[in-house]
Amino acid sequence: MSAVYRGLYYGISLLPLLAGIAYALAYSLGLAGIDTQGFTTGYWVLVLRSQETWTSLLLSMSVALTVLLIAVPVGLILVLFYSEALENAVIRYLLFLPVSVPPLIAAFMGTEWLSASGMAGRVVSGAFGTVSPSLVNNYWHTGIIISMTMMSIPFLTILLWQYSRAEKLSGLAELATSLGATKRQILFRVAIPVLLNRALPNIGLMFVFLFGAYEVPLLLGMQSPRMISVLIAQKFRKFDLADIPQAYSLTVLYAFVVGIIAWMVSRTNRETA
Amino acid sequence: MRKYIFPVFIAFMLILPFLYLPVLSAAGAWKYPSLVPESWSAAHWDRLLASRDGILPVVTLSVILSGSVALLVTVTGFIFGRLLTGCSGKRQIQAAGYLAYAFSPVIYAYCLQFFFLKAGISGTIAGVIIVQFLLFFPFSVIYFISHWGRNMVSLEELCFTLGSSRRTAWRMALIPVSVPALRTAFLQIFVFSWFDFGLTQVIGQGRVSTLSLTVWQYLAEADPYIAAAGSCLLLLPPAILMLLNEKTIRFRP
Repeated sequence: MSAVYRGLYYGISLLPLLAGIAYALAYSLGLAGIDTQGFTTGYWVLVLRSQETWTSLLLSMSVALTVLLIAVPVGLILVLFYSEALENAVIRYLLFLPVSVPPLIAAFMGTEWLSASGMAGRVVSGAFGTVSPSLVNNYWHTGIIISMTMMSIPFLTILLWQYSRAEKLSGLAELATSLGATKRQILFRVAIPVLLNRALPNIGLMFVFLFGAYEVPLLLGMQSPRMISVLIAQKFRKFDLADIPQAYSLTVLYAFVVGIIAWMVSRTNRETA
Repeated sequence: MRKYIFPVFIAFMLILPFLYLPVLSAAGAWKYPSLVPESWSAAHWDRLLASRDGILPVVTLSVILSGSVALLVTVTGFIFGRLLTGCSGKRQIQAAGYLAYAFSPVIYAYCLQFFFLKAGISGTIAGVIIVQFLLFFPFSVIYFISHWGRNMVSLEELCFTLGSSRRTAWRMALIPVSVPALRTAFLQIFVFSWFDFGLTQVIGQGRVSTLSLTVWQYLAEADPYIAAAGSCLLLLPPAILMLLNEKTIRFRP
């Protein structure tokens, strides 16, 4: 009986996704869709040869990685050095409140604060009398990185905080002290490895989520290069019918990358469990 | 005291941008580079509440839509959590669920669009409910699998030992003790659905106008004042829910 339930579960949660990807693959090879001329690898050649594709994938990965490289250390600092403050329910509520902010509003706030005449610009001009540069729609994608980092910090802090309690980190630290470890050793050999090890699968998922972010780069990004979700969505929305098969091959490419990351995450999961 | 400075500073930085929302929505003239509005006005709120066919039907639709999705996903997740307890391959179940869940919603929606068009439910409220169900279902199942641990199974066995039927065991014991977990899951999924943008945009085809899509519309029309008023409405329920509910409501897995 349990095999049936498992099958049902997979049928609801994975089958639609796999069917969608299969349809995308068929469409990108000219085997499905309106007005198709039959099997062709032409669209794939076009997509794989286009610099836009690789720039977009690389850009999405760099943005996701940069966000994590800022947000994870901030989360670690909060959890490891300010655990006392986190015990305070009010501080916890304020710190964790932004977890429930949707990307759409984070993106809106990005435009309102980080553009040249935005709030941050007003503060700068008031304090220093200079005009601040615009941090949105710029080459370094600063606006996107800042907005997504601010969205990620509360989430990662909650995660690390829960793990630090589940792993009884203070007990481990005490044990290490009684075994003669220095403060530095406790930090770098016990606390950080334990927390990161435990959080790694979730950090990997966070990477996938940031990699495929849509609303924030849609509002704060440049016309080119674009992050992968925006690129795909815009190709789907163009009226040129030749763009749609390309959008589908990009979709397959995106799914492939996500699949590889998910596979890597599930491997780390097995080792740490 | 020093112990509090950094966390409070971070919390302040994270929340500051959102305190700006109500200010912007009530601002009259606000020229660069002044830090506070030169005058105040209720015009934007008036406009929001009276705009087009009115915001009220949009809010009502959003509440009904998110409520139905949350109810559907919570109940099926609760049942599947029980059915899958004791199953082998829990890790694969979890990996599959997270994979579907971390997939970019807008790309997921484009993948499914063809099937929804064929089924004739694209652009309908039912279509949006179904697509949201598909995306949030795995999350709910994984959540309830961890809820249905050893203790719950023992409780069920205890009920049977004491001579209760399956039905009484659920009605008198299993569901009552699960109320907090059910409530958390319901609120969490309500918030997911309440904020959804990509799925509703693609599958709803502009014919299902939820609150987040309406806010997007204002942004696209470069009307930040009214967008700010709409955003306040959008953010209000989750902020209240987080106050009411001990467990944190988050936007993502």
